[in-house]
Amino acid sequence: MIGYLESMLLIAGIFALLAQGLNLHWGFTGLLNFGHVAFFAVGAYTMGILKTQFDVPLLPSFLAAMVASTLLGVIVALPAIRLRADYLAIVTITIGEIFRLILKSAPGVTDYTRGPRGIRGFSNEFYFFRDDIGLGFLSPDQYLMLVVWTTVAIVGLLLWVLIKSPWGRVLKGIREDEDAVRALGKNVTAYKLQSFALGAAIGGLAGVYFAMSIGSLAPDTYLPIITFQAWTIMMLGGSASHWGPVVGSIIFWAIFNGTLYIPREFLSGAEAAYLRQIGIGALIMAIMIFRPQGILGNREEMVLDR
Amino acid sequence: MVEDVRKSFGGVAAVDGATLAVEPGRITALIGPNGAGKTTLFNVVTGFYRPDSGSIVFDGESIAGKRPHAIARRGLVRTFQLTKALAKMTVLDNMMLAAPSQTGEKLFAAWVLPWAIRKQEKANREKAMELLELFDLADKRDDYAATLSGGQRKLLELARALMMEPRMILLDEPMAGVNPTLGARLMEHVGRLRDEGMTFVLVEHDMDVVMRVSERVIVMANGRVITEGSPEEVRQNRQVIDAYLGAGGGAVEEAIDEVFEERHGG
Repeated sequence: MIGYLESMLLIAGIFALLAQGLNLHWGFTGLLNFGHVAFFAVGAYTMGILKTQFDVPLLPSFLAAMVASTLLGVIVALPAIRLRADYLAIVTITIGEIFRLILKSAPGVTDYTRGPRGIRGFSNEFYFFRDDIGLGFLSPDQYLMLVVWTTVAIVGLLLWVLIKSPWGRVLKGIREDEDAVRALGKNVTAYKLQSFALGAAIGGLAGVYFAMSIGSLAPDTYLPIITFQAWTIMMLGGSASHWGPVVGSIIFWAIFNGTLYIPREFLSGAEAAYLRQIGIGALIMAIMIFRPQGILGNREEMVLDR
Repeated sequence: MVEDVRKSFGGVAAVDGATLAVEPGRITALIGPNGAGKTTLFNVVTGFYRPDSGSIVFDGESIAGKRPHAIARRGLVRTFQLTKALAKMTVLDNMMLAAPSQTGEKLFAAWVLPWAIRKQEKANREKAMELLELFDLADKRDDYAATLSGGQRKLLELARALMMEPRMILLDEPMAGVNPTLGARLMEHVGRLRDEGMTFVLVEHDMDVVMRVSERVIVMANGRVITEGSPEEVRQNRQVIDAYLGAGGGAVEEAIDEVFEERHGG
């Protein structure tokens, strides 16, 4: 049971972080990003490649991962940000897939990513580091969990301050009507770009932790399903609510992993695996019907939608 | 000051060589039948559309082809035909958003300059509340803008534009969908601001309003300016009546009726 809680809370923390980035894009700026997994992947791969092939120390490799995902965010955003809603969604979902295929099979790139064989052996320094800071009594999972949830808390607070600031007010304005905000003298494109880049950086960091948790990198881990899991988490918790991603992620993973603990007398492993998909699906439907604003979302704002 | 501006969409020349000048400190009305290119011209002047050719000068500077936010910052501010109140933001937030050059609008500033931002926010809030008082919206400050009536939204849009301390405001059909009482109040505000030196251009179909508030009327048809003058002159201009007639359609006939009513009744 403890083991279940630990592994559940670990993955929940990582996805809470991923969804926090997405929440900045969609919840607060209204950018329909369906390629979030690309930032998750670029963060993970940047760290993995720098550690295994260039022997870069821990902290710089983490920072580089965030910088790389920020850069990818900007590169994706520059052409895509001019598109509205559904068109942006189409472009971003494509970019996520293109990026995965590049990691997997692009000549030149695979010299570093090792294509489908993937990368391993980048996580030792991270785990050994816990002895240096006197946390040697924690198991690797517990230690990673602590790091992840500390990050979630810090990112949550930093975002909370940003969203409450005039900067956040501009983003909300853009979400409502970007032409109106343009007419008020704000450089809408620049704000969208900043939001996209910052959310991408957070996604990249989540990717680093995810790579640490599984200890290896393989391109086919980064399927679009990860983006949609992050979306589900955000919708469950309530988009545009500060702590929605956290609550959504815990509920999502409690259900998703919980089915593993159904005794075999009742359901076979395969059946349990289907049950969790059904469970998540039913939960999304229930939320959309009874609480469309999400668990922590603002009912009043939802009702105002035309 | 607009000279020979052209803008076409596909093969349709929406604005086809329009030339006009607006006098500072006056209320100028831009009228014309539907499809005359009035709103397109607004969009070109405020940077929402790029002109195909022609020059636009505001306050001695060329603004043709500049981006909307850059033009707004220069003091040339617009409102929209369909009001763009930011529905899921409070009335006060709508106002605060419009305040120019805010430190806190820069990314990360909120983390490093909280005190400077707080001070600026306080000043902006005071300014916003003053304007809201003036526009009778002060008690709505914490309501979502979506809950306002059509007329109140138009008032909010004008008040919000004033937060930017503009020198010239373009009003796109300010009276559309506004009840007469609020409409009259809106026009009182426009008149008062004009007395304080603000320049206004309004696109308006309500001829009664045009004749009453504007000091100069510019008439557009088929993407060109066909005539301009005082309301009195325009009212008696045969070309104007022809323009409305030539365009055809029910809405147009209504507008003509209004012009004629003005002529005989007013």
